Amino acid sequence: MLSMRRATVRAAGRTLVDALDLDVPERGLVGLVGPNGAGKSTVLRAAAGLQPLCAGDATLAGRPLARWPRAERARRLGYLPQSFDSHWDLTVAELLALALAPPSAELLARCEIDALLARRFATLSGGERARALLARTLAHDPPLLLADEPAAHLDIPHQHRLMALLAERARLRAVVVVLHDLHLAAAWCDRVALLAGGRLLADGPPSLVLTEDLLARAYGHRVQRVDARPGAFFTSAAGGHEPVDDAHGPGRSRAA
Amino acid sequence: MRPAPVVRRPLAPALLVLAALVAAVALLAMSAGARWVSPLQWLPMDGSIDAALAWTWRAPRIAAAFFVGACLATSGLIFQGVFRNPLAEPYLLGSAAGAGVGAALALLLPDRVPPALSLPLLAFAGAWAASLVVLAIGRLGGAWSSARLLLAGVAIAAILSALRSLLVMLFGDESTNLRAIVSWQLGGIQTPSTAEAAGFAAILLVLMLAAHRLAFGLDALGLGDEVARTMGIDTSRFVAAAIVVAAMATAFAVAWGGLIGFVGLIVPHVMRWWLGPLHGRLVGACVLGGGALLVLADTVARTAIAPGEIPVGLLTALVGGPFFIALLLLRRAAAAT
Repeated sequence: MLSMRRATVRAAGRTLVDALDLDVPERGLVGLVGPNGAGKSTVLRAAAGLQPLCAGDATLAGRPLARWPRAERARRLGYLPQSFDSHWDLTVAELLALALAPPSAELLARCEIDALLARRFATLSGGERARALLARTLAHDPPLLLADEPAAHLDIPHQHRLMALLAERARLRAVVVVLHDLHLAAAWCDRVALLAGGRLLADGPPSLVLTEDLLARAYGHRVQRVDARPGAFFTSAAGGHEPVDDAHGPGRSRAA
Repeated sequence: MRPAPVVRRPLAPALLVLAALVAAVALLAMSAGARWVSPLQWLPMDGSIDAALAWTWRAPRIAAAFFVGACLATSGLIFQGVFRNPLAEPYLLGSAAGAGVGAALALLLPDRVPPALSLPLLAFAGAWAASLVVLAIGRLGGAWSSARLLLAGVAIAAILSALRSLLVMLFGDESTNLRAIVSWQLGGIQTPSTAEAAGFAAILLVLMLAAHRLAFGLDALGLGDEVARTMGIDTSRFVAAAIVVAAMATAFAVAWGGLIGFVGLIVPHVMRWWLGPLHGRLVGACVLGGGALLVLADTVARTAIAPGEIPVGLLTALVGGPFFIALLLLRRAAAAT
């Protein structure tokens, strides 16, 4: 569905993404994880066509991203930004009227916003906002969903309900989601790409990528992994802040 | 406490109410003036002096006032959408001042080019150029700032007003009707010929269609540049196109009504309050509401001190300023509850 080859993004003299290779299949939930400034959001914005590449290629369904007519590309992508603020005082129904297609009753029910349609978006709670925005983004049933930290600011039940929605969708469609919470990545993602310093450190199933060793290299901080069901919990190891050899190291492993 | 749900008024009844308002205001405007002529006297069109006065003099003026009000409200609606700022309007953004410089040039140099042609063209050029400069300053350094945009608008408007006065001083002599120019600067509806009045309908129709085509893009811009781009909109091209349409609407309004403030600010504001912020629902409402408001203002302007006339621009500013402050306070109160 989406393929990036040696994708490189530079801005203001800094390399934000460095020769990154990423393949997103037609179905499945792919998590992008890594420390702050690793380039996760930049990768997502580049995939959405919002951030031009300085080098390398990005293709969507076999065609270079930049060569898609804008309207057609918009119909194939759903992009959920990290932060969203409407300049006008919209109701949820009005927000949904600005989707690329009218959302189905089933989608509204699935996102649990059918009872919120007459509410002003500005008065919604964090969880309600996230679900309303997701419904707007999914209304035209895009083959590829790109979601930038949709679970941020949500409490634990809402985080898992949102991830369950994304995981259900990922059975039929491609979903790429940026996550800060490694537990969510371990519990819900089919595949995880671990980024650090704009480079891909590892890419594969969560159990092979979210290892103490790789996480220590990515975050420059020792992490202890506690296996649990579902997934695993991650916590700072004793003395975790002490220097880690090879942090953001050049080596890249494809865990498979 | 759970916030109350918002019920948006259905559009069709709202448009009917506005159309009825336009009809009522037009009826009043046909009757009122230096001399009150009751509808029973002017409606028969029997060739009487009263009927002639109403149909020959008042009707075209009413058409022109409606046209100018509709243009101002439409241009205000588009500017507010493009700049994502409910305080944007042609008068505050320098667009009307730009049109004013163009129009003053046309009026001061009537022997070079016939004003009928040069007035709308130069007014458009001025409105468009001023809007582009304000937009460029608002975007300076890449980051969009709404406050900088409005301040730039105020500064550009001040510069252009000074330039216009300078032009009047340099080129205004006995051959030009200075009094007419000054009264036009303060806002005054010109009385059109029948053919010109018919042209208004065509221009308004084109403007409304253009504004309707822009509506979805304006809504999308309100969700932020990035979201708009992921909705398939080429934001730079869209903003450029929207500014051309808004500048055209400003130019027509300035060409026929001089400099009239606050209509382009208040009408979209009230309509958004009443019908919600989706631009597609607001175009027709702004045309009718803006038209009705200016027909009413023009009627008061030519009746209050008859046989003299108050410049309608002074009237809209006198009434519009406090009205806008009241609106702001009401919105603040509504947001606090």
